[in-house]
Amino acid sequence: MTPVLTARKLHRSFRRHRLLGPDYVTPAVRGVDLEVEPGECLGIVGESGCGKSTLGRLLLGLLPTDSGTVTCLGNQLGDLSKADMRRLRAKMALVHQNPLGALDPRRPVGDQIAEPLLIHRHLGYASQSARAARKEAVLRAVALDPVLADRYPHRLSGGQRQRVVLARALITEPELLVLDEPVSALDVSVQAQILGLLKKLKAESGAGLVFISHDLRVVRQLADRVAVMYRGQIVEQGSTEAVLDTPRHPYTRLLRGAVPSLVPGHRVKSESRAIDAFPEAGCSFAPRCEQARVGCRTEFPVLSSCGGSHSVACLYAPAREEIAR
Amino acid sequence: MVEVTTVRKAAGTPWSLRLAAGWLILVLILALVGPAFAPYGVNEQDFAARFAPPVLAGGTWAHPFGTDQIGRDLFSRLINAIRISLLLALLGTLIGMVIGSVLGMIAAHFRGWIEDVIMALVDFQAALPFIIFAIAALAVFEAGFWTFLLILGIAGWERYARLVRALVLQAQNDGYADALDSLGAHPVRIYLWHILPNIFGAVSVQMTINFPETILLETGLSFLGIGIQPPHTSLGLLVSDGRPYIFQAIWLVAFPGAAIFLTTLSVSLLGDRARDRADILTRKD
Repeated sequence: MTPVLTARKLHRSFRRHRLLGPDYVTPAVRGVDLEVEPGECLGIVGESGCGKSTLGRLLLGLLPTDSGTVTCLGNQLGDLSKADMRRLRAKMALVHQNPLGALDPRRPVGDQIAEPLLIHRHLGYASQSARAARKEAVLRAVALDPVLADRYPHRLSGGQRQRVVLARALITEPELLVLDEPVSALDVSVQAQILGLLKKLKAESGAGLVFISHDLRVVRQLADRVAVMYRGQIVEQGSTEAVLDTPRHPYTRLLRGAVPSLVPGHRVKSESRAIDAFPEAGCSFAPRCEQARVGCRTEFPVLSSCGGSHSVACLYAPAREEIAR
Repeated sequence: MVEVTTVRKAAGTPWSLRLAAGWLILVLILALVGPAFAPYGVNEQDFAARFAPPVLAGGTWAHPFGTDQIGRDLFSRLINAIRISLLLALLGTLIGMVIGSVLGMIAAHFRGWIEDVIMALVDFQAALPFIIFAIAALAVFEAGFWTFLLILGIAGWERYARLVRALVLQAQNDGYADALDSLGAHPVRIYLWHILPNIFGAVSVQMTINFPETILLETGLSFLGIGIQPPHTSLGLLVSDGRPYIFQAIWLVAFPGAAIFLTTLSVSLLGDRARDRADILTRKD
């Protein structure tokens, strides 16, 4: 199958000009490669500030890349004209973290759900009745009561709003969906509902999903593959079970250790050190790494296979047996 | 707290606001239909009744507001003047709003050097004593209705530009504009269909501030003789015409002066009220 999304060597940094001296440069995404197949969900995890959201925007062409290419549904995003890019957006959707902010406060949500059909007239929903029928269908798909369609966003609950945003994203039948922390702003019971809905959508629509989250438990429920990001780089990638059950990279293990669990005697590993400056050379995780050796400070680890589709960017990744212990 | 709210509710709309609203309605009706019912033409002369005093000062009902030095009926002239002055102020305010809003949106959309240029123009305009600019412009260009209207329109644009730019930047931060962009909506659609309705409340409050100022600018320039030209008339021109006879016939200045004063005051009062209400709305969230 041809992937719906292919990213090659993506780089993006943010600069802030200073009156005197050189600009502040903050690298957000550094050399990311990834692929998403149709019907597949790729989870992207990492701590806040690691470049997850920037990556999501780069993948949809909402932010220009410094270098590297994104190919989506056979189109190289940088080469498209603005009009073609807008047209392509019918097939690639973004779901934001904050559903209230993503909705116009002064229009009924039903109108907003159907608006992409007016934006993308080439999809052929020319008549009012065709649009209404399609709107009915997506409302059913996200299990939203049609009565709510006449309400304004502030009259809905958080879960209902996220359903509205999902319905709006789905109405054009996108083939790629980037979900940027879609459930982080919701409480746990509503999270479960939305996750159930997303699972159903993934199975039914056959769209490729990119699921960005800092919450490993949520990612485990939905993702087929997981990519772990640290400081703008993918440090570990592979099937969800492989990465989350037998993590090879010290950072993935640190992340996993930070998930609270109800096992008696289990204590959350906390880490107080926060390192702001990038190391000049070597592994960017080395300053925080418990297993860092001399070589880590000088040599740059490249993402390479450590068995099947599982790959890791660590010079001294422990063997599988060691982890099982 | 509960007591305070009940007291406020009991007080209802203050009488000053009721009067202001009443006056504005009267003035609007006069401006719309008044000239058709005016007893005399604007320049119709009644030489037998020059300097006739108003009714309450010993005049007759033939000329309820008195007449001027060549026997023109002040009441009929006043109704026509109100129509022209209100029309100019309204159109002038709208022109300023449209120019300012469009430039404000352009600045907020493109950022970069385009924004720098527009905001520099805004600062330039704000730093300029406008009446001097208007006098110069009217001296250079042919003084006609449209030139004059354009100058009135330009008078307040910089404030709309500044306001709209700030509001649009805020709307972009809110996320709904960004979300629509990611759905593939054309920027024109986002601005006209989504951002504009969201910021219109604040813009219309700015219009109520701008409107009385436009009336005053129009009357001021007409008083100086570089605004509306005879045979047309405006409130400022009436005051200007009556000025030489202020000691013989004070009504020639008093009636148009009162009309200017009451209209600007009324719009300001109602605008204040609108602003308070808008503030309450923003405070709620």
